[in-house]
Amino acid sequence: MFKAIVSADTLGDALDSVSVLVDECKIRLEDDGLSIRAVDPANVGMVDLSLSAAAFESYETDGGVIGVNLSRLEEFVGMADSDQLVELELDEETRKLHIQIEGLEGTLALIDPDSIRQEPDLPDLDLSAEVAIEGADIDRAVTAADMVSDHIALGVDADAELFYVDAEGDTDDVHLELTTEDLIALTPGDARSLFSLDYLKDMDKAIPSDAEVTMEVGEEFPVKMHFDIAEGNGNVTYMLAPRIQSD
Amino acid sequence: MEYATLAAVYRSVEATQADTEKTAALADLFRDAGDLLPVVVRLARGKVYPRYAATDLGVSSSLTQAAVEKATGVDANRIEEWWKETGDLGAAAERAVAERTQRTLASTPLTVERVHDTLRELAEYEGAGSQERKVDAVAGLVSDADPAEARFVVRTALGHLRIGVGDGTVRDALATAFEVPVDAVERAHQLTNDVALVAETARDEGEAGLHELDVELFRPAEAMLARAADDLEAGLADVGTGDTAYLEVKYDGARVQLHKDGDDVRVFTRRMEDVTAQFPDAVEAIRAGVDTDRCILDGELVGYDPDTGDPVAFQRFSKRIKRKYGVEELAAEIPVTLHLFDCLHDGNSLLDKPLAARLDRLDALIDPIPGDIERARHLTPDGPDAAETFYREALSAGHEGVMCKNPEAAYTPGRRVDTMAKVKPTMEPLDLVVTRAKYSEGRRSEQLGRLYLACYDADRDALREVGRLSTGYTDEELAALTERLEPLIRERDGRDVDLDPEVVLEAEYEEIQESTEYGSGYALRFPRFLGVREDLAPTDADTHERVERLYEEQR
Repeated sequence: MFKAIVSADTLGDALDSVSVLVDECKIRLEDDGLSIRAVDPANVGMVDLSLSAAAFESYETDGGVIGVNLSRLEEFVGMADSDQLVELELDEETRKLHIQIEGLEGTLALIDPDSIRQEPDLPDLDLSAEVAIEGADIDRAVTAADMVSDHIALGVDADAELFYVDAEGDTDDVHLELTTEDLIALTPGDARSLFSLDYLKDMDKAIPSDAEVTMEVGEEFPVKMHFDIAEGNGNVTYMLAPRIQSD
Repeated sequence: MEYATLAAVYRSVEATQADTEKTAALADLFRDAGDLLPVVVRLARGKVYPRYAATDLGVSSSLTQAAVEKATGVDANRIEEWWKETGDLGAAAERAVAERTQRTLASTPLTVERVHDTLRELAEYEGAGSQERKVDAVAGLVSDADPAEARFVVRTALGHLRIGVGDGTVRDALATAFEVPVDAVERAHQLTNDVALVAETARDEGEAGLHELDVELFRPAEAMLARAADDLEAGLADVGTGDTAYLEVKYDGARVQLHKDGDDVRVFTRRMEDVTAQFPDAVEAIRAGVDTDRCILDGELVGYDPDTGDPVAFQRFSKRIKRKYGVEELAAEIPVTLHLFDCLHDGNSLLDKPLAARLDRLDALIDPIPGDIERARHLTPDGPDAAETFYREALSAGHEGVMCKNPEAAYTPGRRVDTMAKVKPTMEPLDLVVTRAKYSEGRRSEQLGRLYLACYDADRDALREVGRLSTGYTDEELAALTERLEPLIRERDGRDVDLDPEVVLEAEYEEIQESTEYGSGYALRFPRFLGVREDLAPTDADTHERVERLYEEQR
């Protein structure tokens, strides 16, 4: 059983954060909210999303897992204005999701969760530096790097106590530094890793510009980014594998 | 089973030229395959579907390149460069994985099941976004692959395994692995076209089980094929009944196998391609003119000019085979007649019955509708003069020649048999694959006018060149051919290009000579272009064995 009412805004943001990486996902329905974990087909990026029951106008379930085609579900939710409510109800018999938006009714066929790729076990990482940064600053860094290159290096200079971004193209390059003044917080430790901008741009799209993002970075290690959604009633973690730095 | 195990077998099979070693390595693999035997035996030929399903995975080179780039982070231009260097996208993928620039968060070892199931699903993706989903699926496999695995995953996705394993190698390996006669394996495969079924039957039920396999409705068997005879006298003599052999007109159309169960009718080509949708007129003719519930018939579909009543050239008729849209309009423009000449099944298999008995059944089942569905014109001549007259009449009616058949012969699928001979006026043209080409000089310097042609060596699954052709086409035909070939260019060196061997040409020639210049050991003398055989795949090209035999016969 699953029956919930949620604002189109909240649901849309949550789904967007997942659909930048995968087309289909499993949604775990739990007593206290729902969660999604997905890894992109090339095993490079991961998203971990949880949306607590408090993010919903109403939320009832006795548990379970459903598989959805994200772009289809997003299309449905996109029919609503951002402040309208979306009512979701699972029909256990037909394995379809009933969706109702202010007089608009529809059903979405669900996907067998077993047909969706099992996400691999991920290692626990102990990353050397942690930066708390505004979403808008990540966006600025990614946009700047994208002007000149396909890759972006994220690093922390422990001595200078600053977070920096490097992007080197064939002819041009950019460098951006953010000091403790510009950051919300910095736990220094030497770190530098190179990432694919394709992935980071997609993740950046889903990060609200006013969000406070906690970023963990290491030496040639994956980066982790955590931020809240749904006014603190949900959170998203992204993890992105690094590129191999060529000499 | 770990995919790495299979990749190691592929590697060792690829590395040896010796057929016995290839056979032994595959036999070991098949013996150890357990429940996975059906999957492994198909993968040994680089396939994930039975041949008669003729399912195309729809994986192009560019899609594969995108997947490899996504999985490894290696720039598309570098992958392209490596591909051009080796002419093998599998080798480029192998190198890209070895030199990957993108790490992964985690990696799960590939299993044979996962690779097989993932590739099979590719064929099912359709419509909007299906290309992206295919890229993702292939990227997922490459992402978890080690370099050697990537080499073979990519080749399998593209449909060319290129390890020198042909149907013959698999047949021999199955016979070795399960201690059954080679002939029994071969016959079972020709009847069922399903190597997975044959493998399981060989293992679980042995030789007796293989003998019990038979033709089934909607699972096309390979067609029985005739040998070419030099002239009518030789043809009559070859089939072993002297000048009283049964004669039939040899039509120039498409050989088809027709399966009927009630109103459900399907039309398969010799390549096992289902062309039912392209021939609604033939389907209707079968419904109207075949008076039985269940049968499998063998015949030739021939296009006729509605104004003159003459058969149209194969080139023109072949439009009907390819046409997917506007089928009805084309059917009105080039109507077909179905000329039937054999009956394989009438509710029970008739393969072991003599031709005469099968033809009696055919007569009993059909209710001919002239111009739609007919028996092939035929005659049992009372002497050489009658035979000669029949042959002359067939030619003057615009047909290709005649077939000489032994009325006592059983139906043996997939074989060129001694009990059937085809007689045509000239040296019979060969269907050959274009492997390389060179731009012409002078007026046609923009055109790929010099074409290297190869025959197919089925046992080694390899193409072997038999010469170079540079005449016989019109300017228009050459321009169309160039347009067909240019997207297949794998590597360019000055004015010479290596091609993906996909296009099959029909070529005539004056004689076959021995030659050290080409890989086949033979060279065609004065080859001339006759046309593109749209209906043939490279593996349907004339075989090396046939070139060899033609050479022997002309001496």
